[in-house]
Amino acid sequence: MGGGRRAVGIAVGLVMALAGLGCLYVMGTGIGLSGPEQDFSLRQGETATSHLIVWNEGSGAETFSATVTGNVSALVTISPGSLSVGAGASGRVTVSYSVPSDQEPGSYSGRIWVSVSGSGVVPSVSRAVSIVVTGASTKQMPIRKGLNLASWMGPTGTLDSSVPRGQGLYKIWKRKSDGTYVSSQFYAESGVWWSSDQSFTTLETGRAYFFESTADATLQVAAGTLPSSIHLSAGLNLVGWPYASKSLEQVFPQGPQNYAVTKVWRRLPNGSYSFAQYYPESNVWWSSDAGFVSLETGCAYFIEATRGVDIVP
Amino acid sequence: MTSPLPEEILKMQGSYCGLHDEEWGFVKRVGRRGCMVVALCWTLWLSMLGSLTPGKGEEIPVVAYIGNAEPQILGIQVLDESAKPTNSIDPGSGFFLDILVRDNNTLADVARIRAILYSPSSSPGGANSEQDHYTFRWDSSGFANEGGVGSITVPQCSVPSDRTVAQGTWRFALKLSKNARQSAGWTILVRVEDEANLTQSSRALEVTSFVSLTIDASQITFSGSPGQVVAANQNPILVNYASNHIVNLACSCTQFIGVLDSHFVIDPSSFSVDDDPVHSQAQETGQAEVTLSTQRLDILVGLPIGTGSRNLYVFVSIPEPFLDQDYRGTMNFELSS
Repeated sequence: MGGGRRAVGIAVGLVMALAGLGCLYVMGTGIGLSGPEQDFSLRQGETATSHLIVWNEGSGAETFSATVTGNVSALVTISPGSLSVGAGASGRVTVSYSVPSDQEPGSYSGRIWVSVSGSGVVPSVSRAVSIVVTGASTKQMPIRKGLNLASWMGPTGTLDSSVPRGQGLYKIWKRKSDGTYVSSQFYAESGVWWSSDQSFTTLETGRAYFFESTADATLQVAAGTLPSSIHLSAGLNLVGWPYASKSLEQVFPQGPQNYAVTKVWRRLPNGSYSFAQYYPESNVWWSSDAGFVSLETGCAYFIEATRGVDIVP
Repeated sequence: MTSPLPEEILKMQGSYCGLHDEEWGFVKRVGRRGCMVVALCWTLWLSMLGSLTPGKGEEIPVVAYIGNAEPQILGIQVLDESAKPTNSIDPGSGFFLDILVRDNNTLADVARIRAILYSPSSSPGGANSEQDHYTFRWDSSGFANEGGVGSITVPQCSVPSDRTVAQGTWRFALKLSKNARQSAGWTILVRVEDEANLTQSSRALEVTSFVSLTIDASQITFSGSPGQVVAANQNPILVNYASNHIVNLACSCTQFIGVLDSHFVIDPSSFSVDDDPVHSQAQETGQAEVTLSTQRLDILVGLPIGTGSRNLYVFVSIPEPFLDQDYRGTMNFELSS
C-alpha cells in the first residue's frame, strides 16, 4: 500500500476480508417466488387467505425467511415465517389477511419480502401487497310485489338465516342444472323455509333466483363475498350479476372467431322478456330493447352460450 | 320490443300459473322421455301379445342400429396440488385438470382427449412454447405431453375405472414451466373425440407470477486504502434471473460497521453498482452506475420475460481519513415487479 496508507478490509458478509485477499468464489445462492397477486378488497372484520411458493434456486439447502413491510404489515401474517427448502425444491407459505372490525377504511400497501436467511450478499424477491379496507356494509335488494328475477346480494347461507323476514318475501325459485326449477316457501306459522327438494336450503351470493313477494320492499342484507367468476355451460344459463354494472361488450370480451355467448335475456317489469343478441358478422351486441346495453348490479339474466365459458367480472 | 321467450322461461311462467315445481319436474321428464317410454311399452306389449297368441308366432329378425352419440364435455375443473378447486395455477407447481365427459355410446367410445392451454399471446392452433402454449393428450396409448413443453406426471393421471358407463372423469396431472406467461387470460381448451365426432369446451385460467434470482457469490470483499475507489475482488458478480413477467433488479445495502471500532462506519452511499467494469459515468457503456442507499434502487430496469444473466460490478469509495480495520454489512439484491 503506497503513501503510508494502510488497507481497509470491507466484507459484505461474514467472512473477514484481508488486504490483498484473493477472489472468494463461493457457490451461488438463489431464490424464486411464485403465487397469486396479493391484492384484496376486504371489509372490516373480514379475513382472507392466500399463498406463495418459495423456490430454492441455489445449489444447496437453504433457509428462507419472509417479512412484510409497509402499513399493510399489521394486517398480514405469514406462516411459516421461515422455512428450509432443499436445492431445486419449493415450499409453500400461507399468507393470511385479517382486518379488525375497527380498522380504519382505506388503502393499505406494502411488500412481502422473501430472502435467503443470513447476511452478506443476500438475494431476495418480493411481492406487492395491497388491501383496500371498506366498512362493513349492507346491500339493498329492491323487490316488487309478485315475481322478481334478481341476483342474491346477501351472504351465502341458509334460507332461515339469510332471508329477511316480515317484508313479504315468501317463495324463492332456483333453477337447477337440468333446467328444472325447485322452490322453497316460507311458512310463517312455523317460521321456517321448506322445500320438497332437500338440497335447496341455502342461497348463494351472486346467484340468480326468482323471488315471490306479497309486497313491494327493499331488503337490507349483509354484503356477501362475490364469486370471482361465473361459469356458463353450453345452452341456456340463468345467471346473477352482483358486480358493478358493465356493458355487454365488457362482460363478454369475444370476437367473431371465438364467441361463445349469443344471446342475453332480461325480465321486464311486466313479466315479459327482451333480449340482446351478439352478431358475429359485425361483432356487435344489439337489442330492439334500446336500453338493454349492459348488465346491471343486482339483476339476473338468461344467457345462451354455444359452449362452456367462464365470465370474469 | 319483446321477443319469443326461451323455453325455460315459458316453463317457469307456467309453473307460476299454478303448477308446483315437482309437477313441472314430472312434465319435463315426460316431455323428454315419456314418448320414448310409452312407445317402448307398446312395442313390448304388442310383441308379447303376438308371441303368446297360438298360431300367431313368427320369428322376425331384429337388427338394432345404434347411432353415434357425440361426446359431451360436462365440466373442466382445475385443482391445485392439494386437489382443491382453483382458478389460478402457479408456474412450476403441479396441478390437476379434471375433465368430466359424457358419451351415450359409453366411455369406451371416447378415442382421444386433448387439453390445450394457451395464453392471450397465443391461440388454439399456436406453436407450443413454454411461455404461451401447451398441449397434452390422452388416447388409447395413454397420456402424453404432445407439445413437449411443461410436464405431465403420468402416474398421477387417471381415466374412468369403468368405461362401460356413459360418464366419467379423466384426470391430467400437469406442470407448466416456470416462465409460463403471467396472465389471467389463459384458456384451457379441451377437445374430446370419438370415432365420428369432435366436441370442445373451454374455460379461463390464471397463471400467477414467477421470479427467481441467483447470485454466484454470497460474500464480496474489498481491500484498499483510504481515499481510493476500489472494485470488489469478486467482480464481476454474475446474476441469473428468470421471470414470467417484466421485472426490475434493485439493490440496497446497510451501513458497514467497523468490527473493532464501531464508531467508524461506511455509509451505503459509498457503494455503487454498475453493469460495466469502469467506475466512471464518463465512460458509461450500459445503464447508469447507481449509488446505493438503504432504500432499494433499481439497477437493471425492464428485464424481459424469460431467463437471462448479467454481470454486475460493485465499487466502494473508501473515506479519507479512515481507520484501518474490517467493516461488515449486508448488500441485498432484489428482484421484483
